[in-house]
Amino acid sequence: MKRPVVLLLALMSTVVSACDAGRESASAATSGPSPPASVAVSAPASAGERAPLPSGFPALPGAVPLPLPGDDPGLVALWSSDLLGSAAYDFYLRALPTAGYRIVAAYPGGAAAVIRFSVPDGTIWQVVIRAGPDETVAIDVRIDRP
Amino acid sequence: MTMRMRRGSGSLALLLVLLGGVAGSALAADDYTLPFYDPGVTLSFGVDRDRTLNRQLDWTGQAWNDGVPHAGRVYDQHTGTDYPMALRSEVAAAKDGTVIDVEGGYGTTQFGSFGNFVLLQHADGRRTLYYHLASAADGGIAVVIGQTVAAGQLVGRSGCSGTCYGAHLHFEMLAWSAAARAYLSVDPLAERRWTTWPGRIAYDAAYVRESNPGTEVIQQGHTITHWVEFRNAGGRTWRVSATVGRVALATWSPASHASPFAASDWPSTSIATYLDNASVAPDGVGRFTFGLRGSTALGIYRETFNLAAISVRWFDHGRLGGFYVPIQVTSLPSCGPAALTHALIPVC
Repeated sequence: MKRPVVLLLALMSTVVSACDAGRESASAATSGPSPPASVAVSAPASAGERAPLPSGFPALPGAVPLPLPGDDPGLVALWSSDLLGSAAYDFYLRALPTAGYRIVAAYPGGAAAVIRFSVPDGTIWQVVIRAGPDETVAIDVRIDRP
Repeated sequence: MTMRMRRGSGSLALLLVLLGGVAGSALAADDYTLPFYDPGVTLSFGVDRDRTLNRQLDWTGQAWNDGVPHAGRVYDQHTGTDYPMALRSEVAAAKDGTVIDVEGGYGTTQFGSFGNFVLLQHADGRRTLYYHLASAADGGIAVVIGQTVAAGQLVGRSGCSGTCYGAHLHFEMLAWSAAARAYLSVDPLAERRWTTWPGRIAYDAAYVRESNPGTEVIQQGHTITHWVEFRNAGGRTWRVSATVGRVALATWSPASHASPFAASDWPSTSIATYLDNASVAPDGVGRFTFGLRGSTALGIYRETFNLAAISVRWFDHGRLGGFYVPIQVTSLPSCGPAALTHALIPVC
């Protein structure tokens, strides 16, 4: 019965970090691939009622925000990237701790990777990296799920 | 690319489920063992036992049917088992076999299909695949086609070649299907008779006890007898008669150095002894008895030992408790534990 608590915490974090929505770091937009220091606060397009990204979530350089599908309320951000899946995975392994998050567990794989991380209030989130259309890589940020 | 059969038919999916349905058998020693050496490696994603698009059946029997990856369980249409492994970690043969195919042309993190791999044929008719290995230059491929390998033997090093989202090993087990006239992947975790997951690495041991856990005092020019016992924490039975994989207690740090304490009963100056017992199954305790001769100058020493599966690999010395024997070479007669046991006052 922890799910309602998680959702409540996520909603609370929405209030705390709502003012960050829409900002994007200039360094993230212009720098080369995988500089761990280029940590930005980014937000998904058309977030609606969803929780926002955790404050200070690192932006993958060159990643393009995509509209969020309406049937997945746990999804809070979606990007597309031309980087290799392994590069995106390695970027987040480095950048999440740098941004102050704790990596709970990492699950690399052949068609997808999941990194579970916690924010300072203890809420656990996931970054999911998997194949997108046209040999791109899709990056989801979502509230933790089994 | 790890999804070797992206569009399985319903009957094929049923066949695979049936193949994976022999669950419940006891774990078998000397069957398949984990394809690496670090027993702390966990599971990223197991086999999808329902190959239909957007329908997943994981190794525990739970259905998800949402098409999304579930950490520690499954992702859609996955034909193998993904283990997180840092770049260039050692990959081991899961069972005795013969190398029947190798690909080593990819870079360690280069995109493209399965990447570098090793394919083994086993005597039971099954095959095992090790995908996404590092480049040949990075030691990704340690074997050649036609080579025979023992369970637990190094076959390569992990990487992220091919379609890959983070360094890992994709381990795949294949069984011949007469109906399909092809090798089809099976789920070693769900079958449970495989020791692959939850499973054991091939060779592992834990310290139990020894004849004298303190300092062995040896009179210069004399020999004392010492024994030590280890629990077999691996998946392979230790056998003294084996030609490959015979378990020995040998000098360590540095490995295989000539010991100044080698006694006349040592098989060589670096091998103190082989296993005393004829065989030791997993979880059993094996004893290693050997002499220590005081051939050095008077003084205090330590001799370090490790277990080795001959012609396969060394055990993890740390998991043996960093085993060593403190030794004092003295000009006085030895005062061993036996004398102390039978007399209130030492007689030496």
